[in-house]
Amino acid sequence: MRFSGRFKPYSGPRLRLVVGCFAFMFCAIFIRLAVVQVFQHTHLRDLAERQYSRQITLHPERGRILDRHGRVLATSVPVPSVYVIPQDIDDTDAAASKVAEVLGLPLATVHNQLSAVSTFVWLARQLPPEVGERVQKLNIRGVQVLQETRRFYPKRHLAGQILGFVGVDGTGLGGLEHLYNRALTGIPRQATLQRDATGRTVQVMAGDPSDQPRGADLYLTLDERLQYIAEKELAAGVQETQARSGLVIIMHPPTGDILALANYPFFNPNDFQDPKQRVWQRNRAVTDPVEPGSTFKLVAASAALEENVARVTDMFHCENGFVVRSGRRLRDHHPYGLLNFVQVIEKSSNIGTAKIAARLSDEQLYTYIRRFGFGEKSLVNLPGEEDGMIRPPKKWTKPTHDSLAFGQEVMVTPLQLLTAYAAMANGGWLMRPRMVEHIVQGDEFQFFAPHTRHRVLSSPTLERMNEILVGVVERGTGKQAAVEGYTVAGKTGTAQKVEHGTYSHSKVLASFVGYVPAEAPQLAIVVIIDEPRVAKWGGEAAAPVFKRVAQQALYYLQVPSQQTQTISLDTALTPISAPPAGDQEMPRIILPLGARAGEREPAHVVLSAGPTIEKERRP
Amino acid sequence: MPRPPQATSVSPPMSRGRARRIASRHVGMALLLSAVMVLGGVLLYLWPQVRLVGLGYRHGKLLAQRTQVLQRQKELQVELSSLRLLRRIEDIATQHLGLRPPQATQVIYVRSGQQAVGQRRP
Repeated sequence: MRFSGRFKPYSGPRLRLVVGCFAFMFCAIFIRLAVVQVFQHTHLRDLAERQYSRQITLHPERGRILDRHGRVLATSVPVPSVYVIPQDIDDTDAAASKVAEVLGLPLATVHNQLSAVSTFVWLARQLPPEVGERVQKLNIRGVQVLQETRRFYPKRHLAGQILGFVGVDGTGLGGLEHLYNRALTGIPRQATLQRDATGRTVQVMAGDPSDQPRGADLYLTLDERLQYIAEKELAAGVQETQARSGLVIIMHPPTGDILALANYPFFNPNDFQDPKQRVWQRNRAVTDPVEPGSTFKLVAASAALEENVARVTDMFHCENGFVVRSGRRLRDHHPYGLLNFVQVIEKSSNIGTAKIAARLSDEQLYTYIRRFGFGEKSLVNLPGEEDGMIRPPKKWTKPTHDSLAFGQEVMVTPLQLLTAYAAMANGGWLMRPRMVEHIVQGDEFQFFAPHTRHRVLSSPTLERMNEILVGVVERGTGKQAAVEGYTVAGKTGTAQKVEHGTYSHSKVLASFVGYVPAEAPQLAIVVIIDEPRVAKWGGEAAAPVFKRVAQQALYYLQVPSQQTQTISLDTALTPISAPPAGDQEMPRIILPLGARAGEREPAHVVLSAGPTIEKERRP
Repeated sequence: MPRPPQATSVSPPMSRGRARRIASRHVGMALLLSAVMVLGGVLLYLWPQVRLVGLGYRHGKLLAQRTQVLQRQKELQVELSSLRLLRRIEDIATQHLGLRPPQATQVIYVRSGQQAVGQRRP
């Protein structure tokens, strides 16, 4: 193409003008761009981010507390709470009447809250979900509903004193909730969201809001079913004896695991604000040392045997139930004459035990008391544990040696007492009691291994003491603790309580401590009944509770009794054609198939009322 | 016989109006093409952005739904735990179904292989 004449399309002053204008504009834009993108970049980016992005804090859900088989004992549930922004409310009177009606609060209270000179006021917290929905439906400007989490204990009072409770702000205020508050609470996490003009989330810029952080889960050594058995029988025992309170602890001697710890009256952490319950929220098994009474005779007797200062055949005169020794009057509950070492313990003679202990020096007796773990914390992972009290020999008075022999002038926690008996059941090895087995935080796993403290007694002494403690149940004061089909070893105790500086004649602490089966102990159990009014002796008030708890616990744990038949697998799988003549009921056969490693509940085959074998797994 | 020289046609000089029309047509074409390209580019850039925003909204809704469902699951779990209250189960078993614990003689443990009978881990 050729242009002719004077026409030159891309030249001329007008074009230059246009180009100049464009160049100027582009320069201006470029300069502005440089200013915005380079020099003001950080400032403007911050402004923009503030406008369209929103940083939210993801508060972790509080971790759960579970028993040794993973059954939930404490969990958190989302619940609505209502708050108000008083300056946003247009018609305070109308809003107050509507809100008061839905929340069931006095109108004056709600009106005051709605007229408060504040930017934020809580109106009602942790409400039932339906109430929250109704408040939301009112659609009142300035009255908002917020989702909070509330701690919930689905098993109600079960292990209430152990679990403790959580305040409305989500902080553990008692029990394990308090001790492991940091682990259970978890660490908050941030997430950044992009939002539009209406505040709706457009995009997740950083962090994943759906990945809600969680606090650690706490797995206890407690077994929910054993805890239930302990609580049920304790409540029955306390009510039967018209006692003030009671306590049962079940321990697994080889590991020191606390399988159950029941305090009666119960404490329901769901209603922790109930003033009637506050008195009973303490876990008295570790917080309240008591004088153990005759259950403490274990120490003097085993120390005397271990130190070879006494033999089981040695005879002791029990002064027909009354004697004055070291300026103190000693009494037996029954007048006895000449008893041998075994009979002294079986019949729980204070005078006889004092005479046995007299063969030990103060230092020897004190050493054995300490060796059994008394006078120091057992370091169980429970809050508020007390040391107990045992004075060193240089602070003893004349009658102290005798008093210590039968469990006076010494304060021990029920858990310390049980731990000492569990050592007898564990080949003489004293274990550290354990309440928390492990903690799981995401992929992290923290295991609290069983901890052996030291050996208390040698095997020969243990054998003799075991025979003596079996004798207590078979022939002595603890007959009511005998469990049909099992050999029980244990000791009764009836400690007078101190009232107005002297020993009370009416208020006692009845107790029984023992282990079962004596030949291969699976359980060590302590029962303490505080101030029984009907049956005042340990053998009458506490021993029957021991029996009932042990019987059901042994059955639950499938520890075969002497009466239980054991048959081979082949015999069990042979079809039964007809029920044996004369038998009204077919036997129920429980077949442990053997738990594989990592399996928490073994599978079972149950054969009941017929030849059909059904496979089932325990729930 | 030599062929007579072929007459060559010489186009007459382009008039100013025609040249302007041609030039403006070319410029127009170029502008149109540029506009289409710019528009295409803008659309190409905007489409994923719009899609992202749409997905963001959907994601937000699903998150809210998920939270609700999880909340419901939690409530049901709590209800389940409450229904598994051992006292309640024992009451149903003993009072409604008439069950009772077996006597020691009614229980038979079966030894399977090398496993110790009844030594179940507490």
